[in-house]
Amino acid sequence: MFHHALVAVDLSPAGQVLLGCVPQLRGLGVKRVTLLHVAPVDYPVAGAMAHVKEYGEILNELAGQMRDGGFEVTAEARHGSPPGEILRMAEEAGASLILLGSRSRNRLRETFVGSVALKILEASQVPVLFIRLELVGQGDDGAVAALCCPMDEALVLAVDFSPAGERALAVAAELSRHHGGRALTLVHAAKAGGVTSEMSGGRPGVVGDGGERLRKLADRLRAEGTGTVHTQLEEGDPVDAILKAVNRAGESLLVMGTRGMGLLGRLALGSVSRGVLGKVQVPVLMVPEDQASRSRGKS
Amino acid sequence: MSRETNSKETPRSEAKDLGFFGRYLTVWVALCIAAGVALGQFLPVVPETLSRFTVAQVNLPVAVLIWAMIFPMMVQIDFKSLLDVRKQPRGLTITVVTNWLIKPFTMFFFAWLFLQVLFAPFIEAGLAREYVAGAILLGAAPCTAMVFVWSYLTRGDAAYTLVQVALNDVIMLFAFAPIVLLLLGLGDITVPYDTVLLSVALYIVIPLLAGAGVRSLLIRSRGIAWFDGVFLKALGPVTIVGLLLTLVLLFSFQGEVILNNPLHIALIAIPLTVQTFFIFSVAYGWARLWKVKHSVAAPAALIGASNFFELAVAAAIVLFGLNSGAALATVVGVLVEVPVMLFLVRIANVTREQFPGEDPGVALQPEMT
Repeated sequence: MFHHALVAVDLSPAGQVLLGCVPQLRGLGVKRVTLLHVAPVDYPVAGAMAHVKEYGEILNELAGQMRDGGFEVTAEARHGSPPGEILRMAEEAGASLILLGSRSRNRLRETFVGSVALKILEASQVPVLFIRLELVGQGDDGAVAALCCPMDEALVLAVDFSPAGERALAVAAELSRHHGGRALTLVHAAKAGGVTSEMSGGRPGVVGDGGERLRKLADRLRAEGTGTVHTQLEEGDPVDAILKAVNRAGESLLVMGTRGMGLLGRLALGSVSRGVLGKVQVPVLMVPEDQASRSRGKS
Repeated sequence: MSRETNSKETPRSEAKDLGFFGRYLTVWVALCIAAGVALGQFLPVVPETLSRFTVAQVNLPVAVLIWAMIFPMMVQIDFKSLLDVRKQPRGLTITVVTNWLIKPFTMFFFAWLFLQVLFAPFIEAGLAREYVAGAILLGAAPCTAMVFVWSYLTRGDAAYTLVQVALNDVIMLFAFAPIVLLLLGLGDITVPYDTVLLSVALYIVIPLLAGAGVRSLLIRSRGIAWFDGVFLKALGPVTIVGLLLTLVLLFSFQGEVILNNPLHIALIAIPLTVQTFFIFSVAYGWARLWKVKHSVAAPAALIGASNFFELAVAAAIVLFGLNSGAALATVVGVLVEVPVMLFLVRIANVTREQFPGEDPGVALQPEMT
């Protein structure tokens, strides 16, 4: 499904743990990997650009190790804006997936320095796989563990019934059908009181018939060849609902649809994404809406 | 494979590729001006108390804040890059001549022309002289930090940019004090010689040497990945806090000047902006005449157009005091920096085709042999 993954590598001691998750990408069909390190150039910190050549050499060593593991690997070090260069590289290399480590930080700092992950999420044309990096030591220099797990296990799809989520649905269904026939759980979250879910983009009337719509969707997927499909309707906070479904599924891959639509859309997306990414213990595949749907939404 | 240049195919948005702090630097500076003025008006005890901690002409809280601004700039300078100094002789000639033989003098000229001649009816003579002094300090040192961003946004040659920053900072070590003393003298602005030397020692020599030493030590002991990914990353917020708190403190002493002369900021901004465009035009036009490739021409022109505003603010405070017109003028330099430079970056990008092209893969090759 995802033949070619761009792996954005942070070469700081904490960031390299993400590379330990790369072998798991086989569960998503990945055969080719492009390793990219971006030495950040920004005010007031740009000194890393002096070391791009050295970073290229380090990446080449890592690439060699991955080739031994059976992947076709290329590596490149660049300098510049990390989100901008990651997105450019994904486009230039024709990658079908971007792998990022997502590290929990305190809210103020994330707001102040901006979030590389959210910028990529907002603008990426291809799905982005986030693996949460968890601090297990003290401070920035402390040890970090990557919360990856086998990605050929169960799938959990957060469903919001919006056109923007169609692509995520298609991706989850295809992963379920073509990569091991794994079980797919559809979870829909709606706020208590019958208004709507945050992920539905503010469209009313979802919660009332949410259960029925979930069942119909599950039937449709089964008819299209997806083997085991479960449904889960939750009232309350979308983040809690998604996390509950993930916990129930055990080792799994969470699939979520995203919309890249300006400031308001980004804030809404950010609150759910940040909430999930900060707590979830499994990889999260964020699937942007397809271009046609995005264009329809804007017109 | 490592690559120092970026693809020509993918268009970029200059402002989008700036980080959150850099992109809105003008906004932060404006907010600090407002906060500082409010602090001075409503809580004057704070600046008054802080101003008492002075030893040998040096206010200790201010010195700490300025060091927090300047040390991170200096520790990022890669003096090893000077080994490549002969690889881009034309670009380096342009940057050295523009920055040290042209820029300080044209800055003085434009500041004098606008602030002391054309705007004489609007600015009291003594204050105008102080503003000119601030402009001189801005013009006496080329940009050291922001230039990396401007270079990146124009797809500049990273290796060349590193060399020109290191070279200019070595020259600054020796040239800053004589140029400042000469131009202040021409402007009939008296400052004690030993105070200028003190400011150079405190805010250029010591941070530069300390920066080079710390850089070398940490890279040797912890490696480049730790130095860049942990140490420099942690220093970024230190610089930001140092800069913003310095500005708040500075404007807590500037309340009267700002409130009595609210238009002065705009008046000071005019010669600074004219100078920025002029210096860019000189260096960029020269590079075009010499057929320098664009990835060198753009950073060579942008480093002179941009100023080492952190150093200028520091020197103005030491030489003239927190409540001086000179300090105010240097902050106006920070205020206009990002919008004006982004405009020049755009000019550089749309005129790329007028310069000799290059293969993206050979950006590290010497321009001339």
